[in-house]
Amino acid sequence: MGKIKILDDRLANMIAAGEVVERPSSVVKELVENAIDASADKIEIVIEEGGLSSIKVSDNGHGIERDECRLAFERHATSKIQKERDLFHIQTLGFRGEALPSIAAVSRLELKSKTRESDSGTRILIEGGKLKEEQEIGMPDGTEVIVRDLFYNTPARLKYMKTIHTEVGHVSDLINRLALSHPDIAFILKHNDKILLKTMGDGSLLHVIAAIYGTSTAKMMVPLENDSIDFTLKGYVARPEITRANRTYVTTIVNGRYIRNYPLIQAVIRGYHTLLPINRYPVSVLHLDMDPVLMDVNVHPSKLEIRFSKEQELLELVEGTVRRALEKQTLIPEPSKQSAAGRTSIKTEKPVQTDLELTRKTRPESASFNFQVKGTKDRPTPKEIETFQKWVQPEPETETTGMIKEDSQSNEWNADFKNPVPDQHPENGEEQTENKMDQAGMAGENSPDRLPVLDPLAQLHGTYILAQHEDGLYIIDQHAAQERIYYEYFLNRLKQDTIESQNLLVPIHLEVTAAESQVIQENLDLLSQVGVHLEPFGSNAYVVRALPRWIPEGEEEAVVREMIQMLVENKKINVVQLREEAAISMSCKAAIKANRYLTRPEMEALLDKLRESSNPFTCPHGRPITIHFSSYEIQKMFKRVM
Amino acid sequence: MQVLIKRDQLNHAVQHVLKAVSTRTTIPILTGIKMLVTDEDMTLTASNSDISIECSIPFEEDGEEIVNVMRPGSIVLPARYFGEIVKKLPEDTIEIDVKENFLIQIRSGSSEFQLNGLDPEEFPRLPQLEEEKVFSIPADILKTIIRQTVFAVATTETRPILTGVRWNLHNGSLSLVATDSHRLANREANVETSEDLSFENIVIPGKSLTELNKILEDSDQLVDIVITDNQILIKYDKVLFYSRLLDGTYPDTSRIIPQSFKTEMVLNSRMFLQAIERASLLAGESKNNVVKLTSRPGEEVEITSNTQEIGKVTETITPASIQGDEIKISFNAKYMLEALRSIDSDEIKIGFTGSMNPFIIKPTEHDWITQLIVPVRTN
Ligand SMILES: Nc1ncnc2c1ncn2[C@@H]1O[C@H](COP(=O)(O)OP(=O)(O)O)[C@@H](O)[C@H]1O
Ligand SMILES: [Mg+2]
Ligand SMILES: [Zn+2]
Repeated sequence: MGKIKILDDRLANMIAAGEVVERPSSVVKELVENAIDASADKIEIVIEEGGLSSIKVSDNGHGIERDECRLAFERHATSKIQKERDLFHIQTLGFRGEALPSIAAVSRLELKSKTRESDSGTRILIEGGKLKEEQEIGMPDGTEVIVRDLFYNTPARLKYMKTIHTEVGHVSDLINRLALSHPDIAFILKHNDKILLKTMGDGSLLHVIAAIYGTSTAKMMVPLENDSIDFTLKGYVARPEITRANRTYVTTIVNGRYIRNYPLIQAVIRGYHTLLPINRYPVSVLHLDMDPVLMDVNVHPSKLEIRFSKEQELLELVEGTVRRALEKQTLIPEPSKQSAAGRTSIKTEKPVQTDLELTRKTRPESASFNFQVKGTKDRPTPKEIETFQKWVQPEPETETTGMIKEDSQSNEWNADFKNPVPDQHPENGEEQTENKMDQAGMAGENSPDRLPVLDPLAQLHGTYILAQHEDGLYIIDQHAAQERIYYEYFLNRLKQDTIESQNLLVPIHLEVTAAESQVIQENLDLLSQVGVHLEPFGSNAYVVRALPRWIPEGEEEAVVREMIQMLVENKKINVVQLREEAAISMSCKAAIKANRYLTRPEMEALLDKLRESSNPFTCPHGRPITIHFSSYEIQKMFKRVM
Repeated sequence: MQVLIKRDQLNHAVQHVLKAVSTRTTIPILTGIKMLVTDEDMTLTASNSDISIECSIPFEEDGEEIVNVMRPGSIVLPARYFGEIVKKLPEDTIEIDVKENFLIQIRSGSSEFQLNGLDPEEFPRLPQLEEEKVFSIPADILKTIIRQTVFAVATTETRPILTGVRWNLHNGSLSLVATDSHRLANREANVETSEDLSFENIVIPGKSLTELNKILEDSDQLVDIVITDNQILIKYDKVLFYSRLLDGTYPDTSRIIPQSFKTEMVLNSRMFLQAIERASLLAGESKNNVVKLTSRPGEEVEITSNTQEIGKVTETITPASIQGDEIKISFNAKYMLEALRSIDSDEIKIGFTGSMNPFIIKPTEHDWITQLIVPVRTN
């Protein structure tokens, strides 16, 4: 059964050309991909001196028949493509039929292969592209390719090689990705006899993650799974306390192939939303499956880049799934990972005694408290919160002026005041049901995405609340906590604001660059659609006449400039993002600051409200709100337990 | 609740209690002012984490009617808006009418406001204090001794006890100490009290005292002060001013203030203050506004400051008198300026005990006040 056909020239030209052999890792890539294509489930890669002196890839795949071994080294010899149409249905990794001949042209290459059907294998030796030897040998099923003295006959290329260290790095990155793409294949990577990676090939992606990033990282991975009509998504995302300085730890695998697609990576990052600190990126591995018709793998010859039809649908699926997976977790960073790491190897399902959630009904009186709180109700009602938040909406430090003078202004504020919109707030709805649950004394309310009911002990440096619960000590950043509470409130409110414009009493004068002016001129319509009304004012200057109401006071010019920047860069205005930024800035201003004494009732009120927020773990800037020392860790620190 | 009330008196009271309104808090109702109207009187109350202020408005003053009660009752008003509204209402008289659901209607002349209020039942009650430890002091003196000490409290919460001013009372003598550990202010004053009243380690938050000073006027009207274990109450005019006390033990500062000196000089307060002010002009952005003072016996006192990128300044000042060793000492100009501004005296005396040790500044006229500054180590 002759598998290898010669690609016709026309087809060959359709495929984006590119140099196959650039460095040792490109050789490894081609060889390992061939092994994968040959249905191997064990692949061993052994390299010496960064692969420059030798690369050996052996597999237990289906092998190559004797009379085809030589054919494999002819240009565009491939067993993997039959018809033109096939290019758009490509499922195998290699498909150009040019790897083996290209590698053989710049090295001394030895190939040994045996199919299951034949009793003996074949060994051929090619030097600089010329066949030197061919013989029959005894060997197990599979294929072994050894590439020695890479670039021996192309000194110019050899000169470009970086240090051995760098080349090994490339190879190991590559094998990591392949291993993550193929949890069902056992990979072994050795460099100068040192094992760099060993995966089990047991089909568990989490085991591969553990082999590559370490068990402690693997323990912090959150599984996710979801599908839509066109896409299936599966994989792991790390809890946000595990972050990296760059995006390369976001691994996306489409139909079993590692790919880099910027919008896809961005979708993962957006899924973390505000959970990530600024300039930090997550660790994640996502497997996507889809009909190959939906993708074009040929955008870039290195085959890493890919383009999707139905991209928007795909991105939404990814972002939403990541977000929901994280929301389900208790996202409280725990200190001293190291000590915690050695303690439980795998979380087993232990029986957990659930308990009554005893929320505060009456506030205990405290010696240092200024007054006694009266009342049976300990939590403010939604209306109260609403009214309160109206009262404390951030305002510029300067005194408010024109309260009465500006009739329109006060009317509007009145209107706001009278319409506290409590029912439209999902979190308020939740709050009420939850109150009921508390009253009913429901057990086991400690779901993992919530903070437990915390009992404040004291304040540290006027900045952090120390609070206790059976399961240990919690340290809460008071500013970040209230920032989160307000953020959710403001965001909700901003979402409800239509893009209704408000005329400005004092128009904002805006000077811009010639290039910006050009962009503004072209997009005046778009700007007015989002509620920004600009008029030209001499050369390279504009007057802002009206702005959408959601823009926080004092930030009008900054927001307009950001919109212009968005137009320059992306030709569109992302109002959602701008509103989010507005909400962050408003919440930061409204929140209590650090270095500010809090009474016990104030601490309790804050903790209770934080508990009700949809994400009590990170502030909108991505910094943690809560740190938890478990009772066990505390005992361990005092050496009460081992 | 429905009342007619004179705008100026209401505004006066509102401005007082506004000082206790929380602008940022975690408890919604604390951003409001509680208004209570009974058949006898009308009070406004506000509370934050440090203080509570209650201010009453008499129904009549100098034969003039201030409040006319149509219907007694109470309400919590949104302080931020109410304060602004009252200030700007057009007519002398304001009508406040509380409707169903805590809806507040405010009318004055042709303007009418509607505000959403909150349930007054939810507002925290002021503490009932045991009036056992009580003493009195004229308002202007209280204001002065607070001003002379409170600037020295710590402004960070890293050692919360230092954010307060420590009050001790023995034999009718009240002693106030404040320190942020870099400088210390000490002030003594005689108060009117029963002979046997004494207390120690009463530490009042600096912030509370700063707010209190905004309410106190320069009058010799007596202020009654009630001290309990965790609260202080100041009764002044129509105001009840409550503050929490800080928990913990104030450090013992008695041995920090040196009693004998190696170098002593007497300087004209105003000239010295102005020289330091000029010397600190070159401090630029830097917080550590370091000034160096050098003197040899019988010579002029030299004050220099040197900021690398900016330049150097030299001031000389002739002391009224100087004795003891020569001295070369560096200190933070800000501490010196604040200390000097707190001493209302034409001449001051500075006593040094070496360039590494704290030094004191006192008025020459009396011993009631001592300012102490810890020098800056320079190499
Ligand atoms: N490890 C292997 N096991 C089985 N067949 C192989 C292996 N490596 C190469 N081949 C055969 O050699 C052919 C040429 O390989 P290559 O030059 O890499 O082209 P391509 O992979 O694009 O088809 C493949 O199509 C395949 O039939
Ligand atoms: Mg190939
Ligand atoms: Zn933040």
